[in-house]
Amino acid sequence: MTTAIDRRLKSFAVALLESGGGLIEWPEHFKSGFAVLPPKAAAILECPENTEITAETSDRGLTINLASMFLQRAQGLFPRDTSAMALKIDTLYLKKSAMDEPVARAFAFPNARVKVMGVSSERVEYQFWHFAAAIESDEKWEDLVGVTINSRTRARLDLPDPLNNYDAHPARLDQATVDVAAATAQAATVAGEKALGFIRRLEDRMDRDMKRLKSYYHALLDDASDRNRRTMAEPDKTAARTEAVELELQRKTEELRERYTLRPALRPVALVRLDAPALAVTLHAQRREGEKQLNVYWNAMSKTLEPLACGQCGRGIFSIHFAEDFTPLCAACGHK
Amino acid sequence: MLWSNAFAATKKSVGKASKTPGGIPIAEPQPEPFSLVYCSDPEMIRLRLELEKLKLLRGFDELLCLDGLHAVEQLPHQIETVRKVLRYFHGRVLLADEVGLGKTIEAALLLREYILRSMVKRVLILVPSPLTGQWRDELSGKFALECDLAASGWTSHDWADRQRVIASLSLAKSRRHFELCSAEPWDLVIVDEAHHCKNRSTRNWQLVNALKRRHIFLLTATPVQNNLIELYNLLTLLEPGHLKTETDFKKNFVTRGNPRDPRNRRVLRDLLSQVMVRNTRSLVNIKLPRRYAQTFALAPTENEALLYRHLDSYLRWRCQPLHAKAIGDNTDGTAEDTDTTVDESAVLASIADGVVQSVETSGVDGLTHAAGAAKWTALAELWQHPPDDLPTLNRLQINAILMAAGSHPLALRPALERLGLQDHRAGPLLELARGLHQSAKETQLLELLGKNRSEKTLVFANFRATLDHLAGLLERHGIRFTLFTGGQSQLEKELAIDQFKHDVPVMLCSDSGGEGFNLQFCNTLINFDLPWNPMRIEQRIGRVHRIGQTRDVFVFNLCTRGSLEEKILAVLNDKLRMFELVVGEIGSILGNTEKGEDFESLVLDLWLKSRSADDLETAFSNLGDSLIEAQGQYLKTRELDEALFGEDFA
Ligand SMILES: [Zn+2]
Repeated sequence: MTTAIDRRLKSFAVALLESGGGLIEWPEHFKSGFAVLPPKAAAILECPENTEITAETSDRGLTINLASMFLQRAQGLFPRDTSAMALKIDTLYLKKSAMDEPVARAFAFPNARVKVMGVSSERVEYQFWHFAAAIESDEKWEDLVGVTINSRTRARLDLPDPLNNYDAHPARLDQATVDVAAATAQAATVAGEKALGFIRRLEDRMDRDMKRLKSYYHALLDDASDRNRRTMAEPDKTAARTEAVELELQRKTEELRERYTLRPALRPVALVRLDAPALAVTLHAQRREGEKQLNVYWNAMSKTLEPLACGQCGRGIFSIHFAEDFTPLCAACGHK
Repeated sequence: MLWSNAFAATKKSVGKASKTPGGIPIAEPQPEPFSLVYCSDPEMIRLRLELEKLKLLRGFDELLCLDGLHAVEQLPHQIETVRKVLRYFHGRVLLADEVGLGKTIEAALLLREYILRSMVKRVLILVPSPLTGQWRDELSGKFALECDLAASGWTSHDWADRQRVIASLSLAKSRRHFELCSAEPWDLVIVDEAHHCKNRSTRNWQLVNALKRRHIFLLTATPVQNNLIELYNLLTLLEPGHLKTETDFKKNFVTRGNPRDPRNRRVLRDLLSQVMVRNTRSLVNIKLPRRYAQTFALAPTENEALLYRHLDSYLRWRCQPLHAKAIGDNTDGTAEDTDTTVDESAVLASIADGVVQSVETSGVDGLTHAAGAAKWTALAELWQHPPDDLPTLNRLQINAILMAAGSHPLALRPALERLGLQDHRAGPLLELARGLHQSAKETQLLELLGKNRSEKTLVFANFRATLDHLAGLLERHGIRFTLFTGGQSQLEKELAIDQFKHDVPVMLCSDSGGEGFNLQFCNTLINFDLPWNPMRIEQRIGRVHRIGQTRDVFVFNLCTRGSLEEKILAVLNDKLRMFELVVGEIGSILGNTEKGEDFESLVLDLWLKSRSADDLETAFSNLGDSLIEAQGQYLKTRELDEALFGEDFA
């Protein structure tokens, strides 16, 4: 273990235990120190309340290293549910100049005529989700996936960490805007991209294993039919044997597929909800007989126009194909 | 993209399973309940995310299985093996370490690792019947993994309900259970002593082949016993087709006319190294000092001799039906019994504590113990009258009583007391035992300890009564000692060992609970009594004859002349030279014989079958011969495996 990870673990452990009311005396550059923990924390971490705390594997006290059970057990110090926080930014600079040109530059509308109707300052809730993503298969893949979403458009954005924003302060927000399914779908996309290499590797391996299985059982069949020809075995027996081998192949193939089956899981770990001012730009879209008004948003934190989300696949889009009912779609989904 | 498709598919469930472009099925994620817990301090969110990130840093390089293990001595090669299997073998491996290097520990560490990483939930462990209890105890005691022992009465529900099951191979392959356990989906199957599955036409092989499993570990020190096809068969269980078909395999890798001689060794080794790990003694550089054994067969005192003789005939009288069964049952004798037995060590322990639990007490109320009423002559005439009015003693009870007799008359007393309550004819035996306060072995023990004053000496005894008695004996003779038993707490044990190391020359020791403690500062041990199971004898010696021992190890065995223990020692020591073998080899040799893996029950069989002392003598002599033969076979196998695998598999 590198010392950098050592230090990181140590400062995490100290901060965590202190935040729960523990007293930690673990001087810098020391391999071990001493901790006095609240009874509940000690019970969860399976150590005494007055305990040695050390980076080295030992039978006594509380061992803090990657190989110890500490991280596993520390999970118990957090709630099982998703940790959430609601924040609010009271004021931000909003763009004052006309939005016609910026909209025209940022967006394209291949199947509709669109014009800017006007702008208004509004409050929009941005949600910063963090998911623990895992895919179990013949191996296991794990990562932490963060997605930030505009709760109105459901579009995925790239925004700075709100916990480091000093203008933000705790607030109460309406629960109705939290849509875990939508966030999960977005996180699944990100996770799928991140796991692509892993999945490709598994595909190659499964392919190889399948081929090996098939050639093995086919060779068995060939062997058998050779032997039958030589020994002039009864056709009934030959057929029965062929069938048995085929069944076995089928069973083994099934087993192999089962072994490689991807079992994805997304667990929402944390959600930070941030209520912030934004500039809503109202558009008027006209297509064939129909027409519709819709909003796009100018983000006051990134100072750019946000994309919309494809109503089918959730991808963020600036080139917008409208469906019959004016659902915005990406090019791929629009052409289906 | 792939994954979002998976979620899209689940959202608008069309009833068709989704797949990746490469054809891997994607399982539908289970919907989980969702709720939020609000906090007001951003630090809590940061800490929680940091925890998740730190957990991710923990790849397979950081083994979780090692944390919190106390009684396991992990050797570097075992830990390396665990890493390798996790990283490169994807949980399908033939663990073929040479005897004594700890395959079982490797398998248990891997099992724990997979469970801790929640990659495995349902586990089936198949082992030879005599080893089921040992596996359960070790997994529970050393690895904190609780398992259920499969019982012959299990229904499909029992099979389906259990997460971790240990089953004897003979039970699992039985007509009743073959279907049941192969119908269950297992995440991991472990097959101990997997050479029992070397033959594809046997039910053993067919069972393992039929099991539905994601991961599988095959454990054997001797993957090839007679010919290379055995290896082919084992690997076909792991990965069918890895070595192509049998015809291909023979053509490519077996010398024509000599099924033991491999050709194209290089290619074969490459192929093998993808599915097999074999650590060898020379490779992991484990060189233990030699060990020497000396047996003292001591003439019993007159009363001792009398007690043993009469006990022998009394027990024979009480178990006539068993005797008949042992005679009539030459081929398949013990298999059934061992599957249905209660935990033997528990019974032994209960006897040592003075309770023979399984003796039926019903129906004996009317019988009272009339002290002195029965005469010894009456005992001699017992044979004429079958014990119709009494329950037959079962094998376990007989076994326990005989072993207690081999330990010390005092260890025998509690069992005799129970027998006396049941049957007044056992009264004189008890009377005799009560009058015996010393055994011939004690004088020898004192002499050995006297000679060895400067050396630390471990004294083993199997029975609590014997240990207590020895404690009193040493006290009276001014020999300072400490006591170490399985019943002590961890702290008491540590204190005892500390005292032994620094203050006192002798430690009195029971059989259980000493694993994992370092006793290498001591190199002399005395077996005051003798477990019938050679593996238990190995375990005793293993406390001092292990990594870290720098001096030669001396073992002194005490037994009474004419006793069963003397005969067992004659076979194990004089014939097999067991005490000079490499650790673990005795197990492989016994495994080569018909029922040798259950040596204890084999000894009991010999006792049950014999009608006279001469009979018994002959039986033991024959046993010795067959073990010599098994040893020869083992040595051949070892040579073959050494030649075949060399040192390329670690
Ligand atoms: Zn789309």
